[in-house]
Amino acid sequence: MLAYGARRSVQGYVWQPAIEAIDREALAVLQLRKLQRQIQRVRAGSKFYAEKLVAFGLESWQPTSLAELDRLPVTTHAELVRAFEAAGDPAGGRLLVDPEEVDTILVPASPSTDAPPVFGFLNSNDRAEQVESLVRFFCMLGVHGADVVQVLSWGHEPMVALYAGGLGGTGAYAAPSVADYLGVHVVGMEIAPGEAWRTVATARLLHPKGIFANLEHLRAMQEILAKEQRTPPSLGYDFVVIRETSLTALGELADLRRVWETPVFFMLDCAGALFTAMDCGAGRGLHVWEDLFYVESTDEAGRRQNGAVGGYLTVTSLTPGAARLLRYQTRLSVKLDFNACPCGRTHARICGEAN
Amino acid sequence: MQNMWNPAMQAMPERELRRLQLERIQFQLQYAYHSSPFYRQLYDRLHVKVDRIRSLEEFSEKVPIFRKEDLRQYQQETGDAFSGLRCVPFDRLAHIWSSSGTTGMPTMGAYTLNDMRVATEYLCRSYWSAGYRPGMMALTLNINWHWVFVPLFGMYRRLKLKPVIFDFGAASFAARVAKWIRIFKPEVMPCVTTEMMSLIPEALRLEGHEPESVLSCFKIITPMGEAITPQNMENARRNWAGVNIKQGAGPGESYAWLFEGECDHPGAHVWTDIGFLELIDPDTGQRCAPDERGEMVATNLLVDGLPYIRFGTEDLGWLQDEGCSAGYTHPFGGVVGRTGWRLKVGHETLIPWDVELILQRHQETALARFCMVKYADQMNVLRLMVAYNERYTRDPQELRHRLQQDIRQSLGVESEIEWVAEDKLPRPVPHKLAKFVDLTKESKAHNG
Repeated sequence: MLAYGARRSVQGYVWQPAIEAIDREALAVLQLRKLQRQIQRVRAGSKFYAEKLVAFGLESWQPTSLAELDRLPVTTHAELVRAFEAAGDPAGGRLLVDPEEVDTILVPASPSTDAPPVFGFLNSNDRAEQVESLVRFFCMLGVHGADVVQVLSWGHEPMVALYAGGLGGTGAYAAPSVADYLGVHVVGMEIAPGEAWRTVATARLLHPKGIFANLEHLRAMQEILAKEQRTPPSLGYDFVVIRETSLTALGELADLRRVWETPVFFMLDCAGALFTAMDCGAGRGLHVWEDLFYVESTDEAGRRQNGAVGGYLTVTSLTPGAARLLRYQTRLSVKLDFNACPCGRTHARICGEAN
Repeated sequence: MQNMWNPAMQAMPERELRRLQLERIQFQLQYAYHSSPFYRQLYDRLHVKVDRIRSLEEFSEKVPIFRKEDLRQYQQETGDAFSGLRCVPFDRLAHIWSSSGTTGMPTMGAYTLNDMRVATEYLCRSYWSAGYRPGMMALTLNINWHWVFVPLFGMYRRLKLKPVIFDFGAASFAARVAKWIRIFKPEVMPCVTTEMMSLIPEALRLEGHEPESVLSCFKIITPMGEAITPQNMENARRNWAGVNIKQGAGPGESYAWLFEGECDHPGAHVWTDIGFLELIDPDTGQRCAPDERGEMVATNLLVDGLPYIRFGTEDLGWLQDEGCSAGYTHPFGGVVGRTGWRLKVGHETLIPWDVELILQRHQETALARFCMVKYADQMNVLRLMVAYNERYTRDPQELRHRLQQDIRQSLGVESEIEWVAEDKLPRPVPHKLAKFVDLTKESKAHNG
């Protein structure tokens, strides 16, 4: 699949064809089976969800269809914060595993010291799932062995430290990193705009195939290049991925493509739900991995909405991990498309903001 | 020996250690000469015969020292990201990192898988000696591009520490870091900037908490980034009551890092079966006497990706061969500054360390937020930019006079002190203050 018809193009490929292009009926069967197991897990292991299931008369509940999931009210950020404050436990009762099995604790960057945090807890299953998700996205970009890719994130985010490159080397973790799987060279960097000079300097030296950054960082790079009387295309990226926590920057893609003269992709990162979505280059929305997550759009009250109409992106994790979330309602207002994409992948796509 | 991660190596008899060092140096010289265009060019130009180095003395006498500037020049001339140092095919590089860029444009470093294992082994020895143990919760202020986090995360896994990950220690995050400490009560902090170590207690006080009480959850912290003066250490120990503070230092390329362990003596052991360290006079190039400060020159003995052989680190420090009662047979030392951060005032040669010792004696300037200004090769008056703590400073004029008097008595020089806001002090990277600016470099560049 060639992307965007820009001066450059990417020749993406599919990492897991059997899963990524799965028949939707088979996908639904897979999702239901995983959901049933997940409900069992959280009932047995998560104090937070065990209490919630009891509170809503679902203590013995075992869903027999995916539609039944909406019997469980959505989980909100505010609810998680209250659980943390009430329990005095950073996990807020969400841990599904023995604390000894938690590999890593993630502290999100809050806008201020007063903003309540929701901490992330990871074990090796979480890492394996996140890496699998990213490997599929890297393949969409046509990244192959020996390619160099600059991957930028904040220090507190696991993207660089744990997933893309995996600090500490293979063998340091139970599961390989993206770099290990694909044989690529991930150059991890800081996403703070003040570090754009380093990004530009290392790009000049290493000639990376592409970069994962955010809009602010890219604009900072543009300013630096302008001062040096150079142009963004002079860095020679075959692709740029804008990684953001909201969809606002979608409106900037056309301009970025014009300025950088290269395919520009968009990655949505919902750190709270350990959820990521990215477009494939067909221009039909951001791919979600529905074998890993069940996605819905819900209204303020948590009622499921028609995908085309849209609502708040609501995510249910379907795989084992340290602290999983069910029906986590983000504040992202989205539309969902469950039709197959021209790229051949059959999983749902996030198609812009809801009305 | 129970605090030794690898007693066979860490307590190796000296004679055996020196034999091992020579063997590895001889191998590295041959390997680098035949595999690295940088070394081949350097050694051919200076007629160095790598197969004729028969002793450690000959190594010091005959093999030239190179520095960062040589690498930058090679990089600029050839466009080679790794300055001609790479000895393995590109595919074998498992991790690529950028230097801080503290002293100019960043250079690129890289690890092969083997290099990562060696680096991890090095840190395991030091951290185990310092008392880090399995299961400890480790507050981690992560920097994505920094070399140290590669072996640090490797060490985490081998020692089975449990990381709590947050952003790197920019000064503006101090209040948040203090908050996470109150919530998680971590036991160790394997890498914290020297500056953040000072800021966290202050942030706790501003929130109405007693630092000694909150920080008592810690058993060990390892500050890095800037040399810690004895006064700073005393101040830190007061704020971090009961916490073992073990400094870490050294450039990523060297593999001759100085991470303090269990020992009572000052300074940190260098594991010289991995990173061979020499101390030379930066002006004459001669080996320093045991009680002298000199430039640390490093050779990594087991690296196969980008080996460094007699790399002049430009770190100014001290090194001692003997005197460890804990049984470690490797030398120990410490870093006090940078060779480029020396200036001459009258008859005195001063470094920021010397000024820091004085500022830290006064409560108003105890955090030592300052910068020395070199405005001429030979100066008559020491010029400083200093930020004081407004909470403690009633009379800036009086404070200035008091500091000038202390500088006069302690260093024997007159000084001009300009008060500046802290955010006006230069920072080459967010986690470090530049305690030295050289205006003569700009002037020389301008005048061609």
